[in-house]
Amino acid sequence: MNQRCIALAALVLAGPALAACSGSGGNKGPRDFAVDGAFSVAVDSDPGDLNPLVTNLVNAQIVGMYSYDTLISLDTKTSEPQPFLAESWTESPSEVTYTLRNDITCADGTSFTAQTAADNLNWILDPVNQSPRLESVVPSDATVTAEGNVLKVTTTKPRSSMLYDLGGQQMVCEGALADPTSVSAGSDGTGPFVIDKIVAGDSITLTRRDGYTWGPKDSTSSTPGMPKTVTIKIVPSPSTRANLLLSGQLNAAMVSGNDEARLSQLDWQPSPAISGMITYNHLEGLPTAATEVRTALTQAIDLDTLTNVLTGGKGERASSLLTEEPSLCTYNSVEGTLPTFDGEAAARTLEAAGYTSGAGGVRTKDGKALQITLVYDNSTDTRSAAAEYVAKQWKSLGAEVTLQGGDESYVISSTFSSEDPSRWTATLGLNLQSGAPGVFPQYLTGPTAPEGTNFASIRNDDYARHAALAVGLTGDAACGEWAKAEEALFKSVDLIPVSVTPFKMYFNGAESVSQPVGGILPGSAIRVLK
Amino acid sequence: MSTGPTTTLLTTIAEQPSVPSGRRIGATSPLGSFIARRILRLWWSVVALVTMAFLMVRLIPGDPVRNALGTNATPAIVEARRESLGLNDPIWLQYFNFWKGLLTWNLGDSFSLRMPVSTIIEQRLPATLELAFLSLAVVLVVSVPLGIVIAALTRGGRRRGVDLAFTSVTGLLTVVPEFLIGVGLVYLFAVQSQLLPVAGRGDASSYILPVLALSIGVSAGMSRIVRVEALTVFEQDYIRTARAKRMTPLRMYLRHALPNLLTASLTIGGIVLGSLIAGTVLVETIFSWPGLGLTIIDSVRSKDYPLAQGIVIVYGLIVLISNLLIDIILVSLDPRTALKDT
Repeated sequence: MNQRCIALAALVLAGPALAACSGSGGNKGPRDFAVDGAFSVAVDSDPGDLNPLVTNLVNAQIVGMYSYDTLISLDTKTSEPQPFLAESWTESPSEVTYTLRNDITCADGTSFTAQTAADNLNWILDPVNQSPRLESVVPSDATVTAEGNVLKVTTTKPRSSMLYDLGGQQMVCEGALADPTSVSAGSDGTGPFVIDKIVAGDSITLTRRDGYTWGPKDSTSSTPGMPKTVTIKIVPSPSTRANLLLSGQLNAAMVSGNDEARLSQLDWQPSPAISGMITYNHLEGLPTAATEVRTALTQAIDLDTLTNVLTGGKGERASSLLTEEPSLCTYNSVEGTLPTFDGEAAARTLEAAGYTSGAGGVRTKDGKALQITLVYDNSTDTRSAAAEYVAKQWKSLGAEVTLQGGDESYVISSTFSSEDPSRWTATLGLNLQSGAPGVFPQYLTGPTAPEGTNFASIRNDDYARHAALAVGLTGDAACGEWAKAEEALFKSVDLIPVSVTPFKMYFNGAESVSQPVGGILPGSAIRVLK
Repeated sequence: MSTGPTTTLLTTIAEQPSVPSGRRIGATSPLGSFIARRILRLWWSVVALVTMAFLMVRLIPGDPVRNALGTNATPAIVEARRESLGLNDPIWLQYFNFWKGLLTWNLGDSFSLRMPVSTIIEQRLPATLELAFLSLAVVLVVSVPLGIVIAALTRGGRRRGVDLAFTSVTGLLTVVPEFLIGVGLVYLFAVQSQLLPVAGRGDASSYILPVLALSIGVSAGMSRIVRVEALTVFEQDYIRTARAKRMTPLRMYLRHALPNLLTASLTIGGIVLGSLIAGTVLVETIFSWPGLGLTIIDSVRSKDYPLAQGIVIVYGLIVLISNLLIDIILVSLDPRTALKDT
């Protein structure tokens, strides 16, 4: 029912809220923009509570981008931070400052200052509020202060992507902070649109406000093509979204799968997302705790074939953990680090590791069979087929494979938040996605589940060392360290990013001046065509 | 659906000789005690429904809190939220609290939407009921006249061609699932010809396709039943007498035959209402209809316990109560029915 890329987004880690703000993704000539037009866009399920300080749901962030602004935005082409609410900023591993514009007003006329921004972050920090944005966006050891128009955030421990994490948080105005429930089904922000009407489970209607001058790419409330009204419709079925697009009742929507064939006439922009990742469980006592076994299992799989199966021939191999655009660094950490596909070499690796062929073709070591429980996402036929391919390859290598499939939340609860960390050996379907490399160490180092979030019990000292170095650096130097860190991960075959699918957002009668990120489109980027 | 009303149907259709009414000493009115007994039985059904709903949603694999907060929430936050939601309480306490909430119409807050479940149900139930009742109306308006007309045309083995055409077409329509009919209708009327809106709930034209999708199959099935009923009634002596006396066909069918058909049709109508409400789940998804059907799918997928069990109970109550009402109506319409003694 849910569209795959949005379901994926449940696993999208920090940073997706960073608005992309450049790079029109088509090859269109100049177009006639409609003045005071109407724009309608689809989300695939109910966004629920719309207060951006209490929600982690991607659909709520999609809606929030129309009414709320962020401190900075990210250029989709260059991945460089761009001014938004903040006109300048400074960055060091344990301190960031943002200098805010002084002409920002909320939709209700009050002004938005550095103090308001600080109040937002402090609200998230207050444990009483139980905000899920705590730690994922605002580090729990942060101290947030405002002086004049400067917002300053310091932490006791270094945190490499803090500029982007905080910079991507949608900011509410003072009225919403005083009464957070008032924006659960409404809006009180600095963004270009104000929520007008909500029909539960059906649609959200927004109206453009006046006096909006600080949008990225010089977007203001009087820019030609900026719609007068925006309607966000809740349309769960991709077929229905395609029908609505074709009949002109929707101007933009993410559509993936077979329905894309009918939309070939429409403009689209890519919103790439990781669609396959293999993670091995490193827990003591499991066969995959040994590097040789992980290597052999990986040698047994042709990752190019797997990519084809996973993406229905549409995607490409992932070249690093950073599968989201824009990403903070660009490097290929996969090439030359992962074992190459070679069935015979895989068998030799297992022999060398002490696994000998036994009865029924199952290899054993010290009387223990090579047992693999592969937890996979069976919510689409391509994902199920991919899991079957992997299982087949491993069986022919001599492993006894148990396939356990379920929807994405089944996969999360069987691996990531499983009460018994030994119940899975490998997983295909738990996709960690971000454009910020600093997000990953919390999942790949440190205390293991259930106390920590290192769900695969990975202990890779090289990765941890390079990651710690990278956190202390910024810019290209940091990216270099992150690349080395990831290479260490792939050399010891801890996890494998397999494939990226170019999920597409289709447009009919409208366009966007920036690329959607994880299905999120900045409200100020929309231009309605005549 | 439950087998209760089906037996009702049989007992009313068959011309039962008057059954001794089982009048007991001290019983005030047979109808009153029938209703009292039925309401007691309804209560036990509700207890079973609530218990099943409570247990079933907890059987859905997955961690509801992790699901609502996402993978980037820290374990500490997940634990705090679990505690504040009462999910760490023993299961009997959760069950007890659930009953307490149910009786005060405070079903808790949805985990993922963070809104009171009672508000969500109040906002979305009307859209679902609209679809279901409009479809029921269409089913009754279409199938009863159609069934009678076809029965009149084909009684006594006349017009074999009409008989064959009717049974094959309605037979086919009955077995095609409503979501396929829905997809086909959208393709024809909204994508190809763009006569009607593709999806959403707006003006009157937006109701046409979803109501048709829900009612076509059921109308076809029901008109077959009405036809068989009508054929039986047409064979009765009083109709034969009326025909021999050259009564006008209109008067004969409407005044004499129709009332005797209606009991059975209404009974089935009640059962059909239940299946129409269940059918809304799929149809709402196709037409992005903002009703409960759309919500229940999301809530089950996201392990949203309060929302899922709330909606399951609402759906169950609608079916239970409509069955009860139909039984009461039938008993008061036809005092001879054996139902009264159940």
